[in-house]
Amino acid sequence: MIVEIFNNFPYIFRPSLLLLFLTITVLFLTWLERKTLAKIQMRMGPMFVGFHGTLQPIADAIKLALKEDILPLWSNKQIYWFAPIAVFVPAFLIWVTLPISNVFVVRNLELGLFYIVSISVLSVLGMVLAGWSSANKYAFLGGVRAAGQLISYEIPFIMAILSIAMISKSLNLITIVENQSSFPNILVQPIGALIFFLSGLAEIGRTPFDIHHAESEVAGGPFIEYSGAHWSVFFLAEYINTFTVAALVVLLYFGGWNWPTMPFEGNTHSFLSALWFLFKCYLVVLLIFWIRGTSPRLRIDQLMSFCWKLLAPLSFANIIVTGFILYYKLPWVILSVSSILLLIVALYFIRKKTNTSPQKTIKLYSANELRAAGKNNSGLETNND
Amino acid sequence: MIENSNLASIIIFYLLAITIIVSAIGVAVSKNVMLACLSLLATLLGIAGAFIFLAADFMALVQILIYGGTVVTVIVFAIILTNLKDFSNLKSTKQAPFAVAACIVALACLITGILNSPISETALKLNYISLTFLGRYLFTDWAIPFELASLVLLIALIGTVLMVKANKETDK
Repeated sequence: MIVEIFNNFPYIFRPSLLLLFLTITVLFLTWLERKTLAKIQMRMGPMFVGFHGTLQPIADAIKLALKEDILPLWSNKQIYWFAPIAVFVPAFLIWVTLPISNVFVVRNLELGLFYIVSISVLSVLGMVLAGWSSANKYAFLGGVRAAGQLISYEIPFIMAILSIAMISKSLNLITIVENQSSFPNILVQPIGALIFFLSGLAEIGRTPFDIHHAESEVAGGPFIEYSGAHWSVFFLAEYINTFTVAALVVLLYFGGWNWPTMPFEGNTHSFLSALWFLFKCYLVVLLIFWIRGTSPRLRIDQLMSFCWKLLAPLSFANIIVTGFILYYKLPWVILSVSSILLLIVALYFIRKKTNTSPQKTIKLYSANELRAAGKNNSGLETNND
Repeated sequence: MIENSNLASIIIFYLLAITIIVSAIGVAVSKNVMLACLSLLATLLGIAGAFIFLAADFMALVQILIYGGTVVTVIVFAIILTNLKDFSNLKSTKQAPFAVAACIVALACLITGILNSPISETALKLNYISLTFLGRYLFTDWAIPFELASLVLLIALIGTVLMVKANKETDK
């Protein structure tokens, strides 16, 4: 029945349906995140508003809508108000082509994957503008960090997507899912899945890659001066992006709604597929929240070297290996094996990196050294590493 | 029905055209560098919209990815790393008439070029350019220009690295 209603829904009004779906998802995700984090930290989480705090997100939303919007005195007014829109609109636009099942999609594009890549690039600008226009040094630092991080991690992100496009010979998301009916892509592309998931985490700024809005370092980063409704727009975009990455991981690597294929025919099949897809998405979302609850944040130099020295070369190697195997039409098993080999190499390098001593960013001087420097009046030797 | 869709497409075309022209004027006129940059973004996104309108989806997405996403971000980055007070008292200099003249000449060249160029029959018949079609031509008939473009990019990359390295040495 729901499928019929959706199919008869006019195209022009489908975006509003999408907005409704995304808003409900975000409200549910905020509740889920608080509950998951509470579970990890052996707390109860929100309990008072509704059954086990289920109405807490609505209370939060009303609170945020009623809060005062503060405009900093030195800020650049037009750009300050423009920045939340520049972050939110791309996050929303991506969902135009993301299918929830073979019928629940606003518009299935032939170039779906490429569309997602090109739209997601736009959100960097909003972060930089928010940081710059706030006229606050923490916001500025956060904006610059966001730009560095997002632009760097786009490379492994896009390269992982590209290898999937090579395997399924299509950019259409529904075709990609239907190609996975016998086995999901994760079996032939474990390294691609890892690269995609990690760089996706970095793209949405989730722990352990939440460098640009780290509370202890830049006090919230680009969002530091925002309050009330405008802050909640950033918040909305962040949760939508989290769900987008989860949905993309499921669509590209875990067979979407198609693996294992749901029983029944026609509309019942489509409806069950949608539920199955959403269930998988929430599993990935829970994984993201789990990582947030248990792992510490990377340092900025670790973040950059992880991307440029490990993820980017690996993703290029993955493309070359995948292309080689596809060109010579070797069996899929060889692709799986080579991908697992690459994965082992990656894990070896990650382990090796973590065992080395940290890079020196601070030099400690003993009191005697300081006294000697004062006597000679020559100053300390600075460490230029 | 056909008349309705014609009307809709005419309206969409004029909306796009007005967006592109107004924001392009905004780039030239605006005294605030950041606002000029954002108008540039609006222009480029408007051109992407025009590409979609002409059923060239791939070109539109490339436009958004390269110009809308990356080039504008790089320009914004350059602006935020400079001191905006240096640009607060921008005045038109004596070079303005020459710039206007150069623009008019360039526009005239473009218009005559477009009006005289033969519009091939195949281009009119193709109402949708598929990616496979584009890819096949890029790697067969147009392989050398394609590779030359990548060579130019590589040269730019190496040049950037060299320039950064040279600066580092002079800083010491």
